[in-house]
Amino acid sequence: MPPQQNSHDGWTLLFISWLLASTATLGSLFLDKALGMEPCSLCWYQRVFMYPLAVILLVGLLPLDRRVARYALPLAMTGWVLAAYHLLMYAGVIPESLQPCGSGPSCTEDDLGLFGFINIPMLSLLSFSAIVALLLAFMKRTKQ
Amino acid sequence: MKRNVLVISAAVFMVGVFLMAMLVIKAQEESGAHTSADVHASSLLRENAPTAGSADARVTIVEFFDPACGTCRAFHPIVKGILREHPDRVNLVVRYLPLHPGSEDVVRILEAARLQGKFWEALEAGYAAQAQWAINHQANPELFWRSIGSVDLDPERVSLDMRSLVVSQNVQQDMEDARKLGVDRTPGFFVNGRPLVEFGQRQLLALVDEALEREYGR
Repeated sequence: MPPQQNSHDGWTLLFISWLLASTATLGSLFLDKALGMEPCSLCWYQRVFMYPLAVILLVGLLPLDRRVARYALPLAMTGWVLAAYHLLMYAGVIPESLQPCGSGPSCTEDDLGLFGFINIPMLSLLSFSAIVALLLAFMKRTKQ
Repeated sequence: MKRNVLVISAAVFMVGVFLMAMLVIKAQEESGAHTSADVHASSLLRENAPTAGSADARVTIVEFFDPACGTCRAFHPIVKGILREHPDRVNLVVRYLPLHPGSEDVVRILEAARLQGKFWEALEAGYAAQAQWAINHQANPELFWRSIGSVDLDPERVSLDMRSLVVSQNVQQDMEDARKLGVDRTPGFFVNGRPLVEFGQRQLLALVDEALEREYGR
């Protein structure tokens, strides 16, 4: 019983969302472990929702299990909300309560300085947005 | 099945890139640590820093420590074991790096005890009772003082000395030297000026063996 492999079953959508989740997972670990940028508390909450996506989407791909979107979407959406909140805080729209010095990294301080405007909360929000969009498209295609 | 192959090769590729990038950064870090240790070699030792072992030993372990640090307590017997194993060849110099809240006063008490020749006894007693006075990464100097009650110290001299200029200067200089040498966590080890880059008991023993071989041959 070979799995059907027509190009319209949305596999690619799922595959790309898994690539994004894995890249975000490994990328954040790299920033933390190699470059020594410690995650702030909000970053941790986003990790809580991003890391399982890398695992759960992989399980859904090997072999293709369409129900995986059902389980992955709530994680991605929750992560999206956290990332949006973080970016607003980073941008100064939401004030961050003042932290005493030396009690862990601030949520608004770390600066990736990539091309001058890319920061970590922005990368997180972009990844979660893309994953949510891809999963929604995947579910829509599956429903027929 | 083509898809499975694609997924698996993508996974292998991503993990491979990640591991390689980690290795590159670690190698850079290591050479950076060696460079800063070389550049600031004069910051490794301070006159009157507590010392153990033979003065003639040609291998010197420098340890930046925080008495409230659990890993420092765990490493203390390991370092003592090294000294015991090579009594005439390895000695130890300890430097203060109080990173925990409250630790600086604990360190001042230890330095005041050193002025009475009781540094090592006070440190041993303090480590033994660490769980009682260092709770949740918070050091309590009063509880520390009580927990080293068995050490024969003159309490009045300790309370005067721990606020004295000499003690302040020594503690400040240790913290300043740690900053120059790039030590930002404890324990921070150097063996004959070479930093322990990858942390661990095995790694420390290897670094000591390397220095022994260089100094005394095999």
